[in-house]
Amino acid sequence: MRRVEGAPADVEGAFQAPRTIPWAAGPGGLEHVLQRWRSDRQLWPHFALDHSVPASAGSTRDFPEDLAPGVRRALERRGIRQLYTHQAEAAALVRAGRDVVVATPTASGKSLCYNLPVLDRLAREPGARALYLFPTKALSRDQEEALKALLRDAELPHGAITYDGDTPQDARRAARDRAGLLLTNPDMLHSGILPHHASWARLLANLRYVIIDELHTYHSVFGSHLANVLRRLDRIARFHGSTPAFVFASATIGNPVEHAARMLGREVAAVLESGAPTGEKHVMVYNPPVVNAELGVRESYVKRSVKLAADLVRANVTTLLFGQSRNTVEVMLKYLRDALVERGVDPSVVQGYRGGYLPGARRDIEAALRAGQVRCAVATNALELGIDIGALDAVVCAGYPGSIAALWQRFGRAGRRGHPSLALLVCSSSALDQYFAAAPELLVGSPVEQARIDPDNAEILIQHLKCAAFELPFEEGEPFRELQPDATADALRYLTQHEVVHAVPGAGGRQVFHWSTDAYPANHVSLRSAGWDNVVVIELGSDRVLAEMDFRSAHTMLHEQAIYQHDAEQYQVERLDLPNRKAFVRKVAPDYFTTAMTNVKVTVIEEERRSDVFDRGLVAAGGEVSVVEKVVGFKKIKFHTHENVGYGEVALPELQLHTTSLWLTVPEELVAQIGAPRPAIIDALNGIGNALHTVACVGLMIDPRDLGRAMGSAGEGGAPAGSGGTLFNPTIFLYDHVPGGVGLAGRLFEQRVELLLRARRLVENCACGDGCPSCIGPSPGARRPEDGLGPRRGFCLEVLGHLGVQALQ
Amino acid sequence: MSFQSALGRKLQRLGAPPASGRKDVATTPAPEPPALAPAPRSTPDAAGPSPGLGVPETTAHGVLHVTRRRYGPDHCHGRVAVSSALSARSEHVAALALDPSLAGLPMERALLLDTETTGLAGGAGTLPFLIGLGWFEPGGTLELEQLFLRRPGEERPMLARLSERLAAASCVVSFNGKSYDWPLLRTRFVMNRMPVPAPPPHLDLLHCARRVFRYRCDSARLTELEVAVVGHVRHGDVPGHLIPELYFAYLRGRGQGPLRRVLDHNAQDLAMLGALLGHLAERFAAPGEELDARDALGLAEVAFRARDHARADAFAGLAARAPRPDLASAAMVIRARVCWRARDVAGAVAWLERAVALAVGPLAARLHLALAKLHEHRMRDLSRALHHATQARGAEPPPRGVRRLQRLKEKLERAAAIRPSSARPPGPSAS
Repeated sequence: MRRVEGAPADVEGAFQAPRTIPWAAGPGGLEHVLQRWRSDRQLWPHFALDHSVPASAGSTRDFPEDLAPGVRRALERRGIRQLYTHQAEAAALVRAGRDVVVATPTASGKSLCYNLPVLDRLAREPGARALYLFPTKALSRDQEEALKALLRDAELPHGAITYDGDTPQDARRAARDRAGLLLTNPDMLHSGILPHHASWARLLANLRYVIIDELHTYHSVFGSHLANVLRRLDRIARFHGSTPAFVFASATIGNPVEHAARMLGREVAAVLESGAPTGEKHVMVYNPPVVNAELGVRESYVKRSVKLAADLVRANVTTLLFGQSRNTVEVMLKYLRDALVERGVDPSVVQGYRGGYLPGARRDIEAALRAGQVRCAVATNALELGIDIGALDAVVCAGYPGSIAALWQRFGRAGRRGHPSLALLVCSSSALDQYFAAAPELLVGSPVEQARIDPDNAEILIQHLKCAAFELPFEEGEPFRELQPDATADALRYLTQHEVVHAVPGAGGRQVFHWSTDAYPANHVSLRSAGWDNVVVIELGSDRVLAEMDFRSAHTMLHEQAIYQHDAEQYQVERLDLPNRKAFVRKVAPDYFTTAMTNVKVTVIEEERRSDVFDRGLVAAGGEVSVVEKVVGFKKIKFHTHENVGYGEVALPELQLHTTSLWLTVPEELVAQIGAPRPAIIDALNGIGNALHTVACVGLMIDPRDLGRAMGSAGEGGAPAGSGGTLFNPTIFLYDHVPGGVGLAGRLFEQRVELLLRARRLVENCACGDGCPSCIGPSPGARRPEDGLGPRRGFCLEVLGHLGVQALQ
Repeated sequence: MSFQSALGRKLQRLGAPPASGRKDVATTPAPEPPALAPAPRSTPDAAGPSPGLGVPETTAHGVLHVTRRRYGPDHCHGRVAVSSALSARSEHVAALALDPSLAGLPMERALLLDTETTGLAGGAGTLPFLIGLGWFEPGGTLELEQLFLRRPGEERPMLARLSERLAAASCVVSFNGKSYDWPLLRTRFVMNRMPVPAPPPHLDLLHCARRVFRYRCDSARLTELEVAVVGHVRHGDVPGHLIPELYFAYLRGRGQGPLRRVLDHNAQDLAMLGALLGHLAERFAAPGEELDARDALGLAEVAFRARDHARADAFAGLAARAPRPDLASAAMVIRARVCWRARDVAGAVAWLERAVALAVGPLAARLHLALAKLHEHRMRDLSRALHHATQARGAEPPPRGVRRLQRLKEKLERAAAIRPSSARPPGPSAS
């Protein structure tokens, strides 16, 4: 969007309240802070990267000549007289009837890529309808306002209505009967619209476009679910006589085209070059200094992030401080407010923002950020998505968010047109962070991660086939979009066996599979998790609901005696009622917080592939496994000093996960050949597992949270890692941390040789002595120096040599 | 059963489908249909013993499985003759339903409708497998036609018959049909690619009954009303929540015996529709001494909302005798509103004064406020107005309440200041 002089400087929509606090100017600004950092001889040496991405001018094109005049006028009223090249390209492709994916950086004007052709179509075909999917309710509300203004200015009579769990009954009817543009989320499409599609006949019969924004958020389980919801939508739209075109918008990911094609089950045209201008951006990496070289322990990245953010806030630089987890966000919020109070700054200019906050509170914080009343938000990835908080001057990431894509989505939050901005990563001492601290140029130059989904994940697929059978009986020989008829038929037979569907001879002698239970299947399928409900956090005494947490996280964050942190306050969990999904907490003022300790046990269910590696006896295999996770205890960590001040026990049921895994087994003969005490060998293999996990995540661009790691035994009766039991044929497992798996393990198996070689190089090149989190993990204290095996890291290399993993020439 | 594809083999290992919400899976032996005692019928069925699951009828759209039953003019459902529905006057029905479109319709062409379905959740996967229809023959006999879906996929003849019956009917009578049966049936037309018939006016007795019996019955469930209102007790009835399972068991060849009882259940529901309609209309037509004061209050409210003020006043008079003060008070408020509508301000004030004496809590405060306004602006009785205004706390936002009290006090002071000089002779000290 090229703007004329004097046009409002916001993104399209022009609906948000004007800024009430002026932008900071003069010596207090960003440049001043950077100058001070650069001249600070204590601080500056620890900056591992100071890279400047120059401003770019952008490139534009004229509107299409035949653009509907009303739409043209509406854009011109917003000061838009030309399109950025990516907007023009996308509009042309969509108008030509293609399915399109647009993947350009944050804040490049992606929404116009789809809004322009949609509005143009409405102007030509008043009966046309479009469906917009956003991953969160908040985004739909944001876009509804923008679209309504755009429709009004384009003099189009169509309504834009958000349909989600918060939509009142009357508005639901209006949405069904009248909405030209329906905005919703995948969950509502799945459980509210598709099962009741007959009531949505008007929308579905005239459905021309389906817009899916924030495509990058639909990866892993959620993405695999969405692909299946889209399979159902495809079936139902056909039933009502329409074949809509799909437009995907994505932040930068490594494989937008492949991802969109997998999501849609067919080829998709791509628009990947942004024509939008950008301001200068300083990309910096700070690596906290080592305070204990032997253990590889560094200065706390959390505290350093807070100090750097405090410098920015005090200089009036609007700043977003991202934390890794809800816990760190709360800790940083507390520290940052404390730091500001010390310096006489009003602490309310800093606010927390994370998933557990209730929607009303989040809306208030968003508005205060836009208005400038809040100068700094401390956030989890709840703010990664396109929530409109206006432009910011600085983004500080406390810890690497797990993927380059996620890092850049966070970094993309900084930058006002024509102003320099700061994107700063403060590395933690974890393996990936240190990997990038050692090679920070990778953050700027290397390709970003790929989004992976597996629509044919059996557990996910079968749930959606049930929903699909409920929505419309299946006929024999019918495919499920790109799922072939024979596979579909097998799945239907399976459902018939379990009396979920019932086959009846239909016209032409073909079987028709009718839904045949009294359940409403969509209610039993949650798109966002593996089907577990959230746990509600309730404050004892006031009975106030503080927050909600997913079932899996509740095991590690809401176990009894855990310190639960919310809005910079600490609460202790007094009772966790898992069957009723409730955790009861009471406010306390401890000097510590807690982190859970988890045991993992992996059992092989079926070996699907197997191969020797390096001819010394090491065996790589892949297939289905069962993973049992159990929280066995917790550590108490003292605030500020981060000392370990005690332990506690936890009695919680196990969590079971069926998934796919790669495993590397060291046969007993090979263990014997190494000729060292067994515990030392197990420790070394554990370290190799740690290194493999790191190189797998970096090399294959996997979010570390999506890849689980455990030690165990091949065959029956594997002992849990760390339990001290004897491991027969010790085995390293790397598994998809997702029920059913999304295909990570399969790719790891294919690249097993490369993986092992890279792991060796990582261990070789590490600067530590006895092992640190960046290579084989810190010493568990199990080994004594007198065993004569030398430093752990060296012994680990020796073991790798025995396995046949040699140094690269 | 063998699985060809990789997916199929994976599924085989998966065992039972995840998170299905099903009560049983095939790994356990298929459950026997629930054992039910033989059904002794509480009222003799004119059609004789329970018929099967329908007699095949060939139609232009395919074979239809129909069960017909008749309830003669004297057949009673509990204390109420089913045919009493025929005596319902359509303007009374329209008032009870608060739906003017029902006025003037010939009730003898009403179509009673009740379906039995494969689930309560609704949506495209829920099938109405039994559509029960009923209408009155000229002699007052209730003719039932129950259309049974022998198996999924054969809905067209059934829906076509429903369309025909709807086209011939003056209105549809149902219980919760507006939000349950009709949307489900509408969906079936769409699913079978058949034109959705334009439904005639719809009388949903659930809403009528809920309004009338709200002070006597906690829920407005059909079976509760059946016992409390028409005095009918079902014996050996199929519990509603078992019905879907019975149908699925039948589909899987586990016997049609229990399903016959579902047909009986449906027939009873249809008879109840006639009886309930007759009973409601009869009560509404003649406010009588024998009426339960709680029902009288419900009827008074309905009549008032339907703008039948004379009838509302008559029912409210009966309800005002209620032993519960809150109900009596509510009845008196209705009488006051009737007076107000007739521009009888003094009458309205008189009833409100009586009502407020019995009322408690927020209602009392609201009545005091109303009286304060009436006394101040209409009756010009400032001291009564002040008396009520002081007790109206909580009925309006504090600033307004404070202002009202202030104003009334000032007005009273001014009146007191004027009155001595004009009305009273000057005191001796003034001279």
